[in-house]
Amino acid sequence: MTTLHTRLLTAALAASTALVAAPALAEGTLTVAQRQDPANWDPTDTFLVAWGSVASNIYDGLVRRDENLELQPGLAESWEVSEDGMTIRFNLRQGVSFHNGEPFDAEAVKYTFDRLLGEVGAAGPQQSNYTTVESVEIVDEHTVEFKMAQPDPVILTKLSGYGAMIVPPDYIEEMGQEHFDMNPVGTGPFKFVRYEQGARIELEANPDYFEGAPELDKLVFRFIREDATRLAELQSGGVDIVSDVAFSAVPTIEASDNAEIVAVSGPTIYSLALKTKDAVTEDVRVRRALNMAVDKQALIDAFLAGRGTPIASLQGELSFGHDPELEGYPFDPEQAMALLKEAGVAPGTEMTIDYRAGNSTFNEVAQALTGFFAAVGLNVGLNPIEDGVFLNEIVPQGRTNEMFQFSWGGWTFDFDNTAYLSYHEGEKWNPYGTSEEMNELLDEQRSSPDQALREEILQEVANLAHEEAYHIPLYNEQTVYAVADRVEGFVPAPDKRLRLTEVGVAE
Amino acid sequence: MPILSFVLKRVIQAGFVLVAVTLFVSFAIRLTGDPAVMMLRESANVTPEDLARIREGLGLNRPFLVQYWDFITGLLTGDLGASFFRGAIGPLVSDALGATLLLALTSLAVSLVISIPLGIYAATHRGSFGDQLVRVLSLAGLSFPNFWLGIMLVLIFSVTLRWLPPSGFMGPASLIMPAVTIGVILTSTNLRIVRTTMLDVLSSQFIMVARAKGLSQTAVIYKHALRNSSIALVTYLGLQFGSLMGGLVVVELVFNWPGMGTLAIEAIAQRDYPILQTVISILAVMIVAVNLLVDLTYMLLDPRIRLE
Amino acid sequence: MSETTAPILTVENLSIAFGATEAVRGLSFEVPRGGTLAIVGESGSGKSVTSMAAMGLLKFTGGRVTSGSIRLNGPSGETEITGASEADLRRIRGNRVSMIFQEPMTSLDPVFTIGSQIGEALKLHRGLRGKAARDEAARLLELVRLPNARAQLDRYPHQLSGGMRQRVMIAMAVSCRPDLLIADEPTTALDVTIQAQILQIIRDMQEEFGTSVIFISHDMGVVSEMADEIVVMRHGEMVEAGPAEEVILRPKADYTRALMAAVPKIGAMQGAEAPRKFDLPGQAAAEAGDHPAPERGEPLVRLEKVTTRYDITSGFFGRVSHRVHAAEDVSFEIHPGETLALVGESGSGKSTVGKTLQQLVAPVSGRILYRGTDILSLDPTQRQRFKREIQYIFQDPYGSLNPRKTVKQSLTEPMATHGLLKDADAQVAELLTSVGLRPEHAGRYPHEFSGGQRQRIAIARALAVDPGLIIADEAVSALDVSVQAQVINLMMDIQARRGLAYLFISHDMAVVERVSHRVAVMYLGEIVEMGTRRQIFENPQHPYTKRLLRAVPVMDPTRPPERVTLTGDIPSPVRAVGDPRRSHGFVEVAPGHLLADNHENFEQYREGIAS
Repeated sequence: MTTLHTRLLTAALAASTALVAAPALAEGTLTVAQRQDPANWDPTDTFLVAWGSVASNIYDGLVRRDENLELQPGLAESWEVSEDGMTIRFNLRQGVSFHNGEPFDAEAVKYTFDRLLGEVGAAGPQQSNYTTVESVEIVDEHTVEFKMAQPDPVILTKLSGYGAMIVPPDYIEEMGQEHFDMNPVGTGPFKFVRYEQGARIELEANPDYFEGAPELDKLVFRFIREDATRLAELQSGGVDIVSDVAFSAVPTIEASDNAEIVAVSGPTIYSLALKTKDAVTEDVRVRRALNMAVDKQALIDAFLAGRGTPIASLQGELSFGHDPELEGYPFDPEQAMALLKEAGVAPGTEMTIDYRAGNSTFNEVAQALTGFFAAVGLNVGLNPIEDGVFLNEIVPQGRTNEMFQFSWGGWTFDFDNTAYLSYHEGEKWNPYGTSEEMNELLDEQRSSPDQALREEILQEVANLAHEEAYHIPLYNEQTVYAVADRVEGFVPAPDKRLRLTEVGVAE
Repeated sequence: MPILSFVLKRVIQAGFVLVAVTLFVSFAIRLTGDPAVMMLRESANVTPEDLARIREGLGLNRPFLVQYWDFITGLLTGDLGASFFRGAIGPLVSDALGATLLLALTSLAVSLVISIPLGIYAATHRGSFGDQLVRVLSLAGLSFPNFWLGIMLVLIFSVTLRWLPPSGFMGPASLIMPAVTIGVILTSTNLRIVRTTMLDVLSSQFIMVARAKGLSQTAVIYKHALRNSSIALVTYLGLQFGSLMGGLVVVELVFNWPGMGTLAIEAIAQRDYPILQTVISILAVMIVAVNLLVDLTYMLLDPRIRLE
Repeated sequence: MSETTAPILTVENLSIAFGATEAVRGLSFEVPRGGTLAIVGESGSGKSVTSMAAMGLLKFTGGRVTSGSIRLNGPSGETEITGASEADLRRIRGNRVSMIFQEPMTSLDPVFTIGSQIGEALKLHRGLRGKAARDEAARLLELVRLPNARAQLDRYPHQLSGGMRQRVMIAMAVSCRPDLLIADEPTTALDVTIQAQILQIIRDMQEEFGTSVIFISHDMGVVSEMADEIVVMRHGEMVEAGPAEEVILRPKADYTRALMAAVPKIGAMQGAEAPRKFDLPGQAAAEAGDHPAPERGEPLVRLEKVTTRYDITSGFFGRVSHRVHAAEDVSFEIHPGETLALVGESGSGKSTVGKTLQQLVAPVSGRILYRGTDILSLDPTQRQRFKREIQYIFQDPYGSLNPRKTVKQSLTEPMATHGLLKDADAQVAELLTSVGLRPEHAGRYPHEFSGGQRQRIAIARALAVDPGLIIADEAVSALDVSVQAQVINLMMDIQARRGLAYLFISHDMAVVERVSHRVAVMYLGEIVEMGTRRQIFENPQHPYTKRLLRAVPVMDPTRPPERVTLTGDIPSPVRAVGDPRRSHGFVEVAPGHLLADNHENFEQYREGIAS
């Protein structure tokens, strides 16, 4: 349905853009429309990208990841990691205050992590990301030490994540948890002004921001669930930036004369996992043949408006562990058929793809995939499943059909995240098991503080997975924004966090 | 005391309906997915302990009937409790309910203001060009899907003409398009009802008797005929209420209207049981209340029922 | 001086059309000042349309005057109704000319009180408001002898019976002392005793206000009681006109004569033992011979103390608080070839007895024997056979025939159900012929037939399964007199041919006198008197039977109408649970003539229940 509506709208938009006059928005105010309202501004309580795009402008972490996924100093000016990886010492930035005037210091850092790792954090989803941290010790007013329960090679990246955003101790203690949920206070470039649940949140520039005041005076996020309505708001000048743009709407925006598409490779990859036990796909030759049957670029062109990249492993180019040397299986139906024949798979053999219903783009992709498989003589059916059932009952219990959707957005951009959960024994997304060798490789890189070694091992993991063809890696999706022409300096980050300090609007 | 006894009977019935609906909803929603899993679905390295911890934090580890009891007693004492993700439900629901009622009542008012005079016109000028026009328009109005009509209005009045804001609630102007979208459907159906019942009533003998008394056309139509046809209209409006609420969900979605529909959709997406239970209970209470209201209005309008 | 003797209304060469269809052609008549003109005719004769034209209301019915004039000659000069403006007409309607309609049940607006509906006219034409209007309305209700007149003002129409509503209508119609009152079939829907009261009230009003009346009716008996002058209409044209006595006693036109012949006249059967067909023109004289007598001996049907009640629930828990005592201890027999008439007014329970006999409702107690078998004690499959034996004809043939089925389908369906279908075409042809229709009618649908023809189809359907007894529940009441006479003749022919028994349920005493061998009179669920037709009609014993017979209008313009006492309504058969029953026994006043043994207490008894 959504696709249909979007198409309807985009067709009409194409006809109407010629009539559209210049936007009439308040000077110095930027309005962003996104699909979802995270509905709670406490960093410990959220798992939503929708939270990150807004709250990255309100809060800072000790470290910050920039648009190139490089770690930069945040509220910590510098840090040292101990030899064994069990202690990290942070030197904190001085003279920084929270928006309410409360000073930022070691106390605030300790409070933040005690809260995250304690009772408050336990009720939310973020705590599980930080369980490798044992405790935070105050060295002096501007120095803290993280004591680790075990070495965690990606802990620094994680400290730029949502759960590690530094929160104001006095404010929370005085005003209470519920007040904080709805009235966030941080140290970031924008201050919270007003929040209307389900509708909008308004921020204003923090003139005292430690990296300098942002360009904008005011920043507004509006939450608009319907794709077509978000685009209508852009076209009518009600908003300046639309996130979560549907691929089907891309050509229309590209053709319009007051907005453009800005895209960036995102963290999310799409693939089909293959059942390696008790199925015809048990045979690696069959799995390879399935890989060769699919023309990935054709899928990207047809359904992603070209906004994607074919992948050879379960990661994008930006991911730590990406091996540029690794080439995916070629699109070669003839060889695929030969392999199937060799494996004794008769033409017309039936298989089924289980996938998560509700994503219209992947729905279309899945349809097309059945066509590719039909071309090599396989009779593949589709089985859309509701999210909750798919995630709880089908995959972890190993009750899938021969092929099942695996899509993942590892926000750390570290292949460890995706690979461990897909290939390591006992993991939710690995119901059928891989190999001892794979388990060992994954464990080895986890305990190593040596990033070069880790990268090497992760590339090996990717190559091994390729050999065994555990998955049919499809593509790495781009994150697409529709941006009004009056917006200047908008550079989206791959992790979908919209930090809009450098962005301005034309007078 | 037939009215008191009647109301009492209906209130007790409403109680049973409420318990049945909420029990069913509370139970059914727990079958559709675990909020803890939904919360952690994008997290790597989730352990069963993590899930258990979150379930405990949300109070989901308690037996179902205990959870239900807390919910229903809270509901009855006016303490709606807290959402899993969004804080206290009370203000959340009261804002959403206000927005939904504002939209529903505006649409209804607009539709009645249009459909009653037009329906009367069509009925009293049966077969005329105006009557044909009214019938064609009401058929056309019925043929528009809510969604399509909403998008078309946005394209014309927001995107092209830039007269009205396409979504959200930013002052009275925001009310116009959603109210018109709902109103078109309501008006079309009400128009048909008014016209048909009016035709029916106008062919009654007592109308001829009223004319034979020398009453003017205005007195005949607006006193005798309208009062009698309003009985059917009220009945119809009561029946329509449920589908009106259904239509509102779609329209709220198109216009990003911060009402009950939007709230419910978000709650479903997040498996936010407390909000969903509350929203559905309130809708159930409203439907029962509206039907009671219809019955009481009915009594007011029709002495045959009042004095049975 | 000439003004007071001039006719109040002069209609000249009036033609009325609905679209392209002419409803009235070249009609002329005059209404004498202070007198009553009756317009008589069957359905479709244009009599009601004419009255609407006289009120200037024709345009609201979709009709229009195509030529001619209607002149109202009032104290303030002459008004041409056909050319008057709507504003002028509104001043005339309800004021100088007012009207009483046929259906008292639907003539009053159900959502306004009686008082406010009478008040409307008083305010409009006499400028009375508030207390003055209320006082006047109460006075008017007293004038039409409505009991507790002042209290009635605050009641709603549904709280009044049909007779009471018609009194309210009359009060409303005379509220502005009109020069002309048009009464369009004012008593057709009412019981005969109530009809007599309403006619009395109209005569009283006429006397009180000197009002002229146009009285529209299909009932010659009523017309004979009311009219000074009569206009007979047929198919939109005047057939005959003249003083009442002339038209009734010495009709000139063929149609009028035929009409008179078809009218059942009470007392016309005096001295005759057997029922007799109507002597209709064009009917072979030989056919009108003696009707065969029923076979005595083993009765076909025997009811023994059958009691049927309906529960009325009320209050919070739906407790049964009242019961409708629809039939109490009803016992009678019907022999093969016999017609037993069950007579009584609304609420007498006569239809309930019919339904109980046909097993449509279950009795509370009693036995029903069919050829000696107690059918209530049988299991359902065996009962099926008795459902075939007893067939039913209803008042409304259109409602009882499926409009989507052809005649053939309607006729073959019951035959198939009871396994009697052999050669469908031949059987249908025979049935249709036996009810005076043609075999080629089999493929048509009910709407293609007239009311009389539909009733013939309904009879054919009843005959299809070869029953022993047909229950005819007001089967001819809705038909025009001439058609009614034909259908009754048909039923009697069939009885003579097949030896069929009828339970003939009717409120019309004149028809009953014509068709029945024996008569049972019912009142409030009980049989109060039963005997042969001659015993009941020539020697009635029960006060209620006497009252019933007295109320029947007699078609004798030479005899001045009898003064009727204006008592209230027929009391209701609803009694509270636990209210002691007042059952009675019977005395046999003559062989076969049974009379309720409490008949002497009748007047007391009905007052007791009514209060």
